[in-house]
Amino acid sequence: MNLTNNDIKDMTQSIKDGDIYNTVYNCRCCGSCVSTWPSGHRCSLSTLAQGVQINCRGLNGVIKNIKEGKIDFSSELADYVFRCVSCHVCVENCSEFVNPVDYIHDIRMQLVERGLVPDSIMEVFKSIDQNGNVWGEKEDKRVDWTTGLNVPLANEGAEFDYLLFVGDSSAYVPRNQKTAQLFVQILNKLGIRFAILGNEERSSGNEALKMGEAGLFEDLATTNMESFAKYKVKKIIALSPHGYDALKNEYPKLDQNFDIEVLHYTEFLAKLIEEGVLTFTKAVNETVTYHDPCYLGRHNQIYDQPRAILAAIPGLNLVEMDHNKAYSICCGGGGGGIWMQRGEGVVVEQLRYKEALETGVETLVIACPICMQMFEGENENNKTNPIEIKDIIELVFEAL
Amino acid sequence: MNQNIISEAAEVLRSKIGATKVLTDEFIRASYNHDISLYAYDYSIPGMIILPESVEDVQTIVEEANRLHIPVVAIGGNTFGNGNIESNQGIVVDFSKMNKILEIDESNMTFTVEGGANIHAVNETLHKMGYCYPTYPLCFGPITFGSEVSKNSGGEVGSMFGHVAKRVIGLEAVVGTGDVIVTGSSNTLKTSPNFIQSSLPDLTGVFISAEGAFGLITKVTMQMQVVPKYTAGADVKFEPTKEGFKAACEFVNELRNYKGLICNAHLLDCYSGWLDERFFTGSTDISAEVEEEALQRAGHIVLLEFEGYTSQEECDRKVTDALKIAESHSGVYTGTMMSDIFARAEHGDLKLTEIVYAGGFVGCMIMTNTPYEKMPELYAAWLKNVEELGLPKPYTSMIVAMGDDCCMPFYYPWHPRRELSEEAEWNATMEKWRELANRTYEDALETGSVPYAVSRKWKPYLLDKLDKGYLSYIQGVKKLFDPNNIFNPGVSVFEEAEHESN
Repeated sequence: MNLTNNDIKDMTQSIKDGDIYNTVYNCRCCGSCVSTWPSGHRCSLSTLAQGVQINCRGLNGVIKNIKEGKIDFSSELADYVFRCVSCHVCVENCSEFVNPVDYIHDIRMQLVERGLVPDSIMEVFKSIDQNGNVWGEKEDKRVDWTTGLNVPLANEGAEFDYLLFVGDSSAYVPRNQKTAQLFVQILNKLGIRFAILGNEERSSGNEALKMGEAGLFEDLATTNMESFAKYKVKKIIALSPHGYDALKNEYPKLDQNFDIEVLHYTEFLAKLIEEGVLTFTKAVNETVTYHDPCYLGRHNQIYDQPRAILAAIPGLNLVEMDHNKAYSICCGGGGGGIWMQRGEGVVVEQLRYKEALETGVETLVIACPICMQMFEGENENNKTNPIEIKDIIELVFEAL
Repeated sequence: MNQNIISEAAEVLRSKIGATKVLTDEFIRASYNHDISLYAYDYSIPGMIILPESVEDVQTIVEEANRLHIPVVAIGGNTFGNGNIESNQGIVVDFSKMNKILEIDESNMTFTVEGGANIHAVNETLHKMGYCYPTYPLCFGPITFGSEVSKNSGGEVGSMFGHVAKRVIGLEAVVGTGDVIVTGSSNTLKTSPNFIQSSLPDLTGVFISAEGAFGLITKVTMQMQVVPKYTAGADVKFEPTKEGFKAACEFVNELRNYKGLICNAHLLDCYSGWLDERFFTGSTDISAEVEEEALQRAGHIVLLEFEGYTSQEECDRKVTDALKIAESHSGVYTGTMMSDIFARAEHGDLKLTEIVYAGGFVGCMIMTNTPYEKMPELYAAWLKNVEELGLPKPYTSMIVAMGDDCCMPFYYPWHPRRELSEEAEWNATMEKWRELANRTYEDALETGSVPYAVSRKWKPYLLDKLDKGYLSYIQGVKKLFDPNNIFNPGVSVFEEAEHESN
């Protein structure tokens, strides 16, 4: 990545003209955003441990200095801001409602406009652009995971109540495909009328947006929303919290008439349990701990529904980690983190994985395909003492 | 600062302590050009940031800085409010990698940590063992023990425990020559092996409140205590008038004479009370129409917190006794909602940020130790200044009662900053905050308040007011500890002797 002088000048001017300058003045640099108290939020930038100021709090000073002409953008800064995993620890912690992640996002957008992003991130953008998914897989392989299963496609014409938005990670990543396969079996067992978009589905765009590619996000969202309109979709179940966040919070910003009820699958299943539609017949005699995905928890405040599902499963014993719910530590995969090289220092996924191991339970339960990939990755690095990782869907399926 | 000298020092330090510990990227240096002070004008970008990992690293840094006469500013959480870092073009020593807990000594009820150990992180560990470090700093998650001691902070439960100085057993510091000095006295802890200067005077105090001007604190041993098993709270309301505020101060003043009765007392004025109530109840209506009614409802509020070690009844008895005293001052018990929230914040199950800035955005923050009986006078002057400067309502002031013999007001004029969309408007408001700060410093001194810092804004007042003889001795000690005046040059009162001798 090489910044030209013109790039730097443009970006500097953009910072000077942009709203971000007013945002930084709301920040009083108290450091609450990267605080570790009382229950230990862990900022991904701070845990990389290059000093107490080298995080969103410090970026405040960087932006002010750009504004005042004392410094310019640099490739080092560009490399750095892509290490944020958009876990919203800073947003959760900020007492001044600054939303410090705005600094990161704003700078990322300007870098992306000029193609000045890390190579690994650029590859993801290319894949989305060419294939409609983040994994570099062919568009027409999106439905391969449904082979042998009864999974209706929206374009087949049958009526359905729910559109299942599968998402890239569940459609293409083998470990997550298994989860998706179990989920549709659950839906079929319960007699839920659903359909998927199949090859018409595109990446939700969440990752593109969080990595600063607003234009690409808009294209993806527009394509998906056209499909929703075409099939008169009224309700969506999202398998991934990342897709859920985009559909629920970002799509309505693009189309004010977007009027579709969006549920994460944990909300959907918890509701069925509450209504008595979903009941369990088998015991799952396991002691587990649950990891709150950032995009389900801090981004959308969904903490109770996953726990309600786990509580309803006979025989299951939940042991909470020290950091749970709003205080949860990130898996490290969000905001493009799953594709970024780690720097020196402690990384958040290792902190979280270690904490799960320290509970001494048999199983780490997640509700997000990205979390699954991140923690399975940690298991790869810990072959002597791995922990079993299951999606809530798998436990529900076992108990049916 | 001469860039060639900075470059030379960076090269030497990289070779001696390791390249990854010496950071010179422009954007990193720029991120270290300020603390939380709102009053400084002359922001500079430091020459380099260094992240030492051992006392030997710190020694090497100081030796090199001493050799080349490069200014050194040490930071912990970088939440200092007096702007020591802002004009520094030399070295910033960031202690965030020296954050280990070295020892928890249950037999002596002490713990020893590196200077960069985070207070809240250490408290988490202590809590798991049934202990705590009770002087919770009022603000800021990143705060460290080194900075806590350097600043002699107070904290939320200072009413019972006082300032940090009372809890420091000893410390290790690197002085301006690069020498390491270990202070402390085993008179207090006969079995502790850490402090061998038992027959000598204890120099610990030289480093307390010194803001890093005498040496860089690399290790500190503090007293800990048992976590109270039981807690109780009480909100006591007073009339939202000057007389009501005076009555509230008198109540707190009388209450603190009953040793062991209260753990903590916060006195919130009617504006703060209203804003906190609004925050905690989730109300978003701040229209002028509701203001007067809301202020009357809120009144001035004293939030009391009690701790018990034997039973809940012990706490409840304390509450009953305190409320009898409140009644004699026309205070009315209104429940536990707010005091309970404060107590929960201190005991760890509520986020810091949900409580500290409940009143809104911080414009101007002044910290003084003010005699209780003088608080109404200072408060009245404060209101007058706010009015004269045309600062917009709603604003709030929050006053935290502290210490056995003093109290410490925190002032928070509230302003919805996000509505200041124009830079010019922001700057104009900031000027007013600065002026408010200046006037409050003057007023504080008029009321016999004790300054709560040794640098920047306080410097001229201190040089004028402090005992010249005592100050000259302190300045002499500074010269001994830091002969080339490399620690915080141009900032603190301690270097005056150096200037005079020159």
